[in-house]
Amino acid sequence: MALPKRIIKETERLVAEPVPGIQAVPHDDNLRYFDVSIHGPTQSPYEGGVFKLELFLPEDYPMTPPKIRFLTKIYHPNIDRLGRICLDVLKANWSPALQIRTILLSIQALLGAPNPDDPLANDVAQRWKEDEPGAIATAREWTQTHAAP
Amino acid sequence: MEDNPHPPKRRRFFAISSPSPPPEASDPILPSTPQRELHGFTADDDPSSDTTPFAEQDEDIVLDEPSEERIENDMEATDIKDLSLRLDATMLKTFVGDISSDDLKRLDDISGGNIERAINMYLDGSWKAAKPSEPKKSGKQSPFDSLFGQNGKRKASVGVGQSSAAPTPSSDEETAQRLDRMPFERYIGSFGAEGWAIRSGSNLLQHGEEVVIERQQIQQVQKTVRRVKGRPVTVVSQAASRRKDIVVRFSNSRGEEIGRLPQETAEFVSTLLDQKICTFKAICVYAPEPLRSNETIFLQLKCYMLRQTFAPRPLRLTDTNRSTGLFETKETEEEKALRLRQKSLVKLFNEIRLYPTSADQDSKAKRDGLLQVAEMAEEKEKEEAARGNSTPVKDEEEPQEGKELEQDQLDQLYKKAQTFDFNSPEAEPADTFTMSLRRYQKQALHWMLNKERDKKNEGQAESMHPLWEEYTWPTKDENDKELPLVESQEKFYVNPYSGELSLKFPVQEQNCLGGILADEMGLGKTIEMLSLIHSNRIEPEAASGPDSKPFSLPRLPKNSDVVEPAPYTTLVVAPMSLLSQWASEAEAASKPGTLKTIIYYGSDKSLDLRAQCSAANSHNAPNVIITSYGVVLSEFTQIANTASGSRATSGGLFSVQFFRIILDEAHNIKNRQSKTAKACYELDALHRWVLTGTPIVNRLEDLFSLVRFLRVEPWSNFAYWRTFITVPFESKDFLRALDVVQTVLEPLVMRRTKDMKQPDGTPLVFLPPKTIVIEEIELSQNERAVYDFIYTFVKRSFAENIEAGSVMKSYTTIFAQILRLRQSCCHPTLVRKKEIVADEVEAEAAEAEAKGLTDNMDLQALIDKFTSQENDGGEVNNYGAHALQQIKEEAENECPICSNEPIEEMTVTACFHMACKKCLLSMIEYAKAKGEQARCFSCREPINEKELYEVIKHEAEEVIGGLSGFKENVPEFSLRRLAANKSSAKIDALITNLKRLRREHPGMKSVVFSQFTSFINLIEPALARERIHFARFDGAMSQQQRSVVLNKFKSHNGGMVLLISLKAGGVGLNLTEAKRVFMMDPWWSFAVEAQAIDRIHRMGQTDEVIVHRFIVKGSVEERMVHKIQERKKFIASSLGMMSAEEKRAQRIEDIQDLLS
Repeated sequence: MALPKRIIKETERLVAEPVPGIQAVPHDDNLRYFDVSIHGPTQSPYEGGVFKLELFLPEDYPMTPPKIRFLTKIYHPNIDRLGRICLDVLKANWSPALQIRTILLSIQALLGAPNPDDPLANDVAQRWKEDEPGAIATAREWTQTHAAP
Repeated sequence: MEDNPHPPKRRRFFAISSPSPPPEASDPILPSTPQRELHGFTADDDPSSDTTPFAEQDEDIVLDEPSEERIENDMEATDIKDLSLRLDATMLKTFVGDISSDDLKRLDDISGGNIERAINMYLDGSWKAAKPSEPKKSGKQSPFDSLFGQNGKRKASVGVGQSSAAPTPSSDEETAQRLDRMPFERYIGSFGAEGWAIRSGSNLLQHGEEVVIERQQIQQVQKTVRRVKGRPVTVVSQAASRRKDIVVRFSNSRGEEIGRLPQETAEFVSTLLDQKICTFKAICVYAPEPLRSNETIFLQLKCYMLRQTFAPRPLRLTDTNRSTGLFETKETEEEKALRLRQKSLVKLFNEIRLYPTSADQDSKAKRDGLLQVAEMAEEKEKEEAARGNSTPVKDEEEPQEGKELEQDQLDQLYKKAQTFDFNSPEAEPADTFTMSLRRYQKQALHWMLNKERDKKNEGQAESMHPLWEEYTWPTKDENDKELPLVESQEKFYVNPYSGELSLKFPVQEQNCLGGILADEMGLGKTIEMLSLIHSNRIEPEAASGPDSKPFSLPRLPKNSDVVEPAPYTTLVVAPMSLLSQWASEAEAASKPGTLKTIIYYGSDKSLDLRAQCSAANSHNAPNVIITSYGVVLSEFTQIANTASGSRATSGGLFSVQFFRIILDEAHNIKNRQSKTAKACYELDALHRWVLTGTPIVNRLEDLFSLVRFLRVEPWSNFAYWRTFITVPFESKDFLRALDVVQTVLEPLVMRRTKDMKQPDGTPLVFLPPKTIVIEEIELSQNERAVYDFIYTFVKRSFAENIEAGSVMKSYTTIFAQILRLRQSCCHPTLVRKKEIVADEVEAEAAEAEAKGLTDNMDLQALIDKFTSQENDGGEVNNYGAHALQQIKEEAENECPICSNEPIEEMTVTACFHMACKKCLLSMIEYAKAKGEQARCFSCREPINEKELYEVIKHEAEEVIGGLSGFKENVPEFSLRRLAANKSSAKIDALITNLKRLRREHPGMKSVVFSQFTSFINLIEPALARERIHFARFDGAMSQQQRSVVLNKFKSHNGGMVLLISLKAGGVGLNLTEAKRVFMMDPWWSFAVEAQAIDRIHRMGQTDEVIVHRFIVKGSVEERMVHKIQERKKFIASSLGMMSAEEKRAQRIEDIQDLLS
């Protein structure tokens, strides 16, 4: 299966004009599979951490959104223990006009602005609502433990 | 041997017109070739037949037997004593009325047994004055003339003997003298035979008594002839006549009939007697006394060759056919007569133990082979007779005869013919020729010039014709007594293959001043030929010089008005679609004014070619006349249908002898029985050339037809061909047959192929690469629904037919349905169009359609659904200037969905967001499939198919002359509702491709092939909508329209699309201006498509050619390409070459594959 022009172009651009704090490198043997690392946004509990993710562009891409998962353990109300992410643009609000770059930016933004009202990891969301500073502390702790660069 | 600068085969022309014929030589003499004489007789004998056929036959005979006169003149009465009455009394009486037997005897005596002379003498009264032994003075012109003048058709042939103006080469006189020196008959040998008595009595026959050998009575001989002629009109049963016709009786010196020769002897003796090749004298060696019926009589037969046998015989049977027009069976009759003669001679030589003094080492084996061949032919004939077939039927079937060649045999053959010497000399074309030739083309020119000039290689020692054998006349007779020697005649020559005999040394030669140029398609045969036309032609000034000699060759005048030489004119016969191409290439290759070219077709035919092309009109005569096979055929039929068969009066192609004839795409005449082929044989020219990429299509006989057109003797004689090639081939003696074919081909053919490599390893022709891309087309849902519906229908009906065993019967129906299925891949509405049926299927198909598909409401509903979207057209104008402005600004953006830049077929949503049409549509499709509302990719507004608008950019016309800098670069935009424009997946794909092409390679031309003209009808408006320039070329167009279209396409400055129907444009055209090819629909065999592609990818192409084949995914088309076309690659004989039955069976198999 030949790689669609769009994927090639996106990859080229990701390499040529990288987004600060985001890195996405395709695997040599599967150009639809990317190793992604996102720096935790400043002034967030995730600051200083580098989070590894895996990104896969399905056959129907860009008609269907890419599949993305955190590989690094992270304490976040919208990200579950398996690394799955709850983000509207990765689901119903996906549009083919969105790209890898924009999606990764959205994820970075999600780290900066957790949304416990639309939780994926219920226990984390619960704690976030009840004891936000404690939750942030745990998040920071996890970042240092698991996401140290 | 004397140095004979002229081909001996032409001798017979000169013999007639010798400058100082002896006075008596002008007597037209009825010839004695028996089958002719009797043939004429047969016609005359039949009360219902009028005299015309007879006259015509007769005319031919006179033409063909010129030297007869001399033989007859010297005839001594004593020589013929043993034939009590040689005249055919019945025939004589039909001419002169009743005549007493005394007069008859006397006439017979003085005329030397020649019926024609006898008639003349009788009518002018000279016979009374003439002394029996001195019949010479008696024959005068006038009586003969007046006799035949009555039916008005004899004049021409009478003139023959007197057209003595032409110079006579010495060789002919020599031949004549040689003949003169020979006695009327000459002993050749003797053999024993055991006859059986048919009567009893004593003192009937004694030892040592002379016995007269004779054939049966006239009436029976007649029957014989009929059988020989293959016209068993009155004969009751074939078997009976067979037995009868070889009976040879013998009688004692008192004229009492004693007995008959045994069958095996009689078989050949009868033929030799009938065809007047030999006479036999016999001596009784032993006869029982008293003799009883059925007892054996031992005879010794002495055989004497008749002098007339050695007279040059007509070899070209075709010539004699000229005036009788299209006599389908005649040829094979003559062929048969020849075969009998040949067989009898070989048998005779075996009997008398006469062996060639010089011939091939294995002549004995060869001879056996010959006999075997002749017998095989007879067996075959017998079988057919046994099956109760009448002979003419067999003749009709003849075109089928000749087994097809296997591919590897063909390859082998070609390989041999292709051994092309890359170091062969080159020739430079004349300076009036403007194109530059490649090396191999110069070599071809050199070869062709040589072929045309090849009279005879002076220096070379003459070698004997390979088919002939040399025999020495016996010097002693059967009793070892010395025989009288004939001065300078120790030898004679026999051609055991044709039964021809000659006193003259048969020189191996090739008297065909032309050949077969069989270079593979695309190597520039046309150019090579044009260079020849330029380089070997007679300048009008030179024509009066000695060089003109070839043209003053006395042609045998058929009528008083002779065929006019056209010494400056080359005739080109080509398929209709190529006429204008020839004309334009001829023009392009010549300096202005150096080559006068006319197209002789349709209304332009009013010219009188006799006047136009004659030598007298030298300065205005056209140099090249281009015409079509159709014209040749129609003029030929016209002439053949007039009673006189006069060539000259027509003023057409047949009234002149061209300097040169070129048959382009000569496989058009591959069937020797076809009328077109026969018509072409009759065209007259000094040089004959044949151009074809495939000299042998699938039978060895295909080649025969070319050879016959070229008049390469002896191969142009079918009896020869048969003996040597067809029969060995059919009896599985492939090697021998192919070897012979190769011998025939080698001097005649020049063939190079595209992939030949020159010694330095570079290819002969450099062709830019060609890429074939299969584009898979996804049908839209609605199209798919139509397709699926038809598919299920067809599949069901096919299965039903198989179950009912009526597949072959309902073949056309099934085929029509498959056709419909294929059409639905192109465009659903095609299925509804009645005209499409005419594209491929016969009327019955339409009937099937009426019953099967059309009345179906479901289908109607489906199609309505498809077309309905066109009707609810909304206004586009509510979009206003603002929207357009925005669109303009974003015009060069990249598509947000597929990242293409710029956006392909830019399409706008209701919310003014743009993407490629394809991307938007697939987005909507995707959402639909998931049951969701499609939303704009940008603003997430709901969107739907009906509210998409295509942005039409009206690019300014490309500026002609390359001044593009002045072009105002402000494209106009407009919007068009997408749904209104819904065409079909294939058309969309084509448009997408063409638009991309226009963008990426502005000005590039392309060609679109489809086999359905009605599909082309649908493509046209789509192109028009996109403002893509296009032209159309299909089979329904006249020759003139075609050339206009081709010129327009070639000369158009800028991009253009040529829409061609596969069938009309598959062959011959040269479209190297185009660089892209689009095949809209697949054909059963890819070869047909490949040939179409080669119109573009051929010599002269300078750029890479990219071919797009549109194939609908998951459809019959896909299976056609992957299954059937793949399979056909390995079958040498594609559908076009099988019989109708085979074809059907094959197709059914194909259909099975398609529906599986």
